[in-house]
Amino acid sequence: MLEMNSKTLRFFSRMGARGVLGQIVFDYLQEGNALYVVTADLSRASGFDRVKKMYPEHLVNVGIAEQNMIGVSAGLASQGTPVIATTWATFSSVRAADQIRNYMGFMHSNIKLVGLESGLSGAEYGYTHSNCPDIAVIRSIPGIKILCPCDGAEIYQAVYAALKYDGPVYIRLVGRFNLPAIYTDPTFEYKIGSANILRKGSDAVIISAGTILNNALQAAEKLLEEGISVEVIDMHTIVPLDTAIIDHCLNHNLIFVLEDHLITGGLYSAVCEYICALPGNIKPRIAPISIKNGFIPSGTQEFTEKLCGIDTDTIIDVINREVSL
Amino acid sequence: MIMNDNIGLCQKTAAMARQRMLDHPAAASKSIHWGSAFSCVEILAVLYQCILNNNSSDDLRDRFILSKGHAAFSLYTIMNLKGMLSNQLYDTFREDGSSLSELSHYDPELGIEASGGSLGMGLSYGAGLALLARKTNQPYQTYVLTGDGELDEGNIWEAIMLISQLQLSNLTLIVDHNRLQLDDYTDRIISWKDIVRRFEAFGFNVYSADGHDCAELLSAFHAASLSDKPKVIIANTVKGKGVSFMENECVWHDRLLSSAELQLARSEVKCDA
Repeated sequence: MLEMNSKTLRFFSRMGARGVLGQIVFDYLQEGNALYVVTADLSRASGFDRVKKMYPEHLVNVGIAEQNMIGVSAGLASQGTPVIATTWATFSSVRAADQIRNYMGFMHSNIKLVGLESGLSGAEYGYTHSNCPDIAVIRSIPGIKILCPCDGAEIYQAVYAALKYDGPVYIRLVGRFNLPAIYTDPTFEYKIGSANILRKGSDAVIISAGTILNNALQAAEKLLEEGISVEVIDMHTIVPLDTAIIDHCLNHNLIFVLEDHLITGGLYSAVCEYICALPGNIKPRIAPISIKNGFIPSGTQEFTEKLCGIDTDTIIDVINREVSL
Repeated sequence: MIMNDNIGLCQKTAAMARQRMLDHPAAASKSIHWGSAFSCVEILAVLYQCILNNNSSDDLRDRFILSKGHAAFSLYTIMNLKGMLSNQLYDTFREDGSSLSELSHYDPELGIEASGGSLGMGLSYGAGLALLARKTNQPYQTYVLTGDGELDEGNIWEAIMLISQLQLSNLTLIVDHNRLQLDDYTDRIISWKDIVRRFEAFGFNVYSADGHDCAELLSAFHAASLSDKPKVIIANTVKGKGVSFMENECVWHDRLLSSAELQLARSEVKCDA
């Protein structure tokens, strides 16, 4: 495995989601670990070029057949060897949902399913490849962990942790190349289910996950210049949710949940489900900064983030408005 | 080689299975997938009595996947007759909270390899098992039983194309070709009249057998075992086989027997065992 230092962090940032995914899978195989790599015709888009070249016997391309990919992966995982399976996020969730429910949910197969270019990173292709409700779909299937790493370093750690964990995991990746680095300290800790506080603050808190955290951090920085102190939490694991850190958030008057996902069934829903079920009546306001549009027009990530109201400027506006109420 | 006593054993097991199913308390009180259960009794009897090396629960065991999970009652009954499923548990079939549901589901303790309720999924899992055996040099064989109506599912053909592409000859697909599905004859919905040609076009060796004749089934399994290509056994069957008023009647896909019907059905399947 690569040692975490400032150089590797810069390297991860440059390589982006697919490059880091390919790197960790290659490193894992190079360590001599048992692993099968299955893809629905996306070995290049998953960064598996070197895996294909050096470890062809570990790679299976099932063709453009995502439902089959899940069943075949479950068979390959039937004796406990982990399987990493990749396709675009729409197909790794909505299209193969029944297969996922059976093989990853009920049978608890040791599959690490990767949804590529989730969120709005594929929005230029149109609605079929963007804003799919992957978290909502997978979260509705019991027993599957959901990881949403926010930058290259966290992708590396998350995939490694998923491979070491014995059980089904969904890994949601956003973006292709050049991911902004959220973690600049190479000694940061990554543990499935343990959220990280990226920035302390006292007036409000933003809970978020994935690359959209970059917008949260930028908004928090600008808000501080205006005298508003905002805490930012990296809830990199959506299932299981780190409820201890949410309990800590209850000390704030305002909780914002920022997500590059439909408001239905994503992180906002998960946080609300937890807080609303707590006994007593001492709840802070929980405001969504989520995507309300079901099907969005095509455009760049920057354009669609603005359109959906999850860009940095809109986050600042929303928090300013809520804080002044 | 196929021994006559094996044929007799399978045929007798099948006869006893039909009788046992109709004698089960659930037969009088529950709507059951009789048609599908009865069409594959001989296939399951042959598999469990003569084909599957399932004596061990370890990694060496052959894998059998009932993809047409609505024939679960047949599976439980054959497993019970084989001594793999206790009478005590068998009696709980369809009781509230029983692990023996109408559609079979994954239960490693019982030896049920995969869930079959959601049609079209079992062959993908079988392909994965066969591929794993090949990659790890394990000798086990994989058998998958689907219905013919089940072949309507696109996931089946995704799996068939991969099995063909990878030349997975350590997997045997068996199609219970009873020519009926829930609504009607398959010919009136999605026709499988040219089922042999379709499989051949996908690169499979096709073996046909009368799915109620254990000698023919055993011959087909034997011939298929010698093939180094992807293989399918088309078992030509009668839906509801063994009970005259159920045979070839799609209403008996899933239906509750009246007490008079149950009495008649029991008299028709009675065997000396």
